[in-house]
Amino acid sequence: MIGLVGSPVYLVFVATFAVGLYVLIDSPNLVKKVIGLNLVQVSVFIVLLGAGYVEGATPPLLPAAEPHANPLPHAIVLTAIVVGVALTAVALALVVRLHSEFGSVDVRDIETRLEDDG
Amino acid sequence: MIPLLEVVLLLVVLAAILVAVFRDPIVATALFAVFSLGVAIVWVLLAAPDVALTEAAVGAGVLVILLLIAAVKTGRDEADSSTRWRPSLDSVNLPALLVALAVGAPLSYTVGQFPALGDPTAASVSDVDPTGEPSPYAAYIGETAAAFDVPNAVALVLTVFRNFDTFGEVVVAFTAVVGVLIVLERATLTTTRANTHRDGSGGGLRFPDPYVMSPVGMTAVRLVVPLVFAFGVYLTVHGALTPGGGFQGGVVMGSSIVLMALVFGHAPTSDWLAERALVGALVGGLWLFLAIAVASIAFDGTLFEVAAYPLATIYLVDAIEVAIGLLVGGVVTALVVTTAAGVLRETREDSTADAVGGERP
Repeated sequence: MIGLVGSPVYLVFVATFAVGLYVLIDSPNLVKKVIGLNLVQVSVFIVLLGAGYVEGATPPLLPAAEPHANPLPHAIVLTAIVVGVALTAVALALVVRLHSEFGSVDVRDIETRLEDDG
Repeated sequence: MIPLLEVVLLLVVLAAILVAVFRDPIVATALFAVFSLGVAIVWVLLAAPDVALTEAAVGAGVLVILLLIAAVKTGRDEADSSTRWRPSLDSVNLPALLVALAVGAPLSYTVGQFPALGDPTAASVSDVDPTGEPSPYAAYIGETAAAFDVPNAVALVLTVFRNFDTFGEVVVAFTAVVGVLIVLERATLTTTRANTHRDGSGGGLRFPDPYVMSPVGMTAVRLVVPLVFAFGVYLTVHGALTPGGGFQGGVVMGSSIVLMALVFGHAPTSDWLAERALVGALVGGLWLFLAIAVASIAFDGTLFEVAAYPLATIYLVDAIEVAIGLLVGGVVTALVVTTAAGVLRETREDSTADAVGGERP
């Protein structure tokens, strides 16, 4: 199927990705930037799970009736969610550390401070 | 077509846009929780209950708590609460909007080339690959999978077919805990005396001291936490048969501790947690997984070939799920507790800070 737009699920991927990117660029607040990064991450999960879905699919539990959804994207995405929260925590720890060093999480303030320090 | 899918997708996009509209990080975090819950429902509708369990516990639970901790710790004290709920519609960032559209346009063209959602002839869900050989999908849910007698194909992929990848993932999660400890300059996961600030406080969130929560909240948490924790244990050990497994169970177990930290205060919870138990869960989980993977050599298998064991595969799946559950539960608890405790040297006036960071604002 060739077209300019795909199914609604893939459209949501595009919309969420674009919104996440907008938040990432727009907000000077680092915590807000981390939220934007998470929006982009979830949007990619939507594509992966969308690709694993079959019309009328049941969950990949083998006794259930066919057809099953592809279990591989499920395994990838559920590990990626846990790894994602772990990496988000590292990012947030860096934000907390920056706040204790510079007294601000606004990138404009931090850049000004860095320029002043030479 | 899937009933309700369009409605939930609309909610998800709406929540995502609202995250962008509200500038305040705390408000944006609350809206991100709504977004995550909507996404978890999408996963259920796309026949992915394992992912939905993880998303609901992480996206709408642990992640939101972590973001709130960071937002509260880094927010200005005189939080302009009057403008907090005011959407910033008047100040659309035009360059950012242009970049988002410039990236979104080719992306929407690309997804237009994808097979339609649920197309049974699509390569990702077809029984044969383009060369006519049986596809990995056919192996994951077909005769190969049936030979292992483990009903939950997701658990099977995680712990048998692709367990080397899974091991890499849990090592990343473990490393993240170490990374947070290094960034925050803490020596231990829980607040011990060595970690206490000079003023004697645990260095946690600046709640009124002594921290008081409503009796309703405290009673509810006392009742709920043991049940949630038990549900996490159930998810972990029953993951081979039903949706669930180490990742989901670990996250649920961890979030029950996080719930306690939320209501009783982070510092008392951190004091209550035994450092040894937490480190034991983290390191023990990792070593148990590695031991199972390496010991398969003794049964003429290769590294990580758990099917070589002279045991029904379901026992090995369960053992690996327990290892993952221990580690992930420990990771989630440790990440929230250490991030909430914050940077150890928070007051640096009397240290060498002046030479490094200049005067504090």
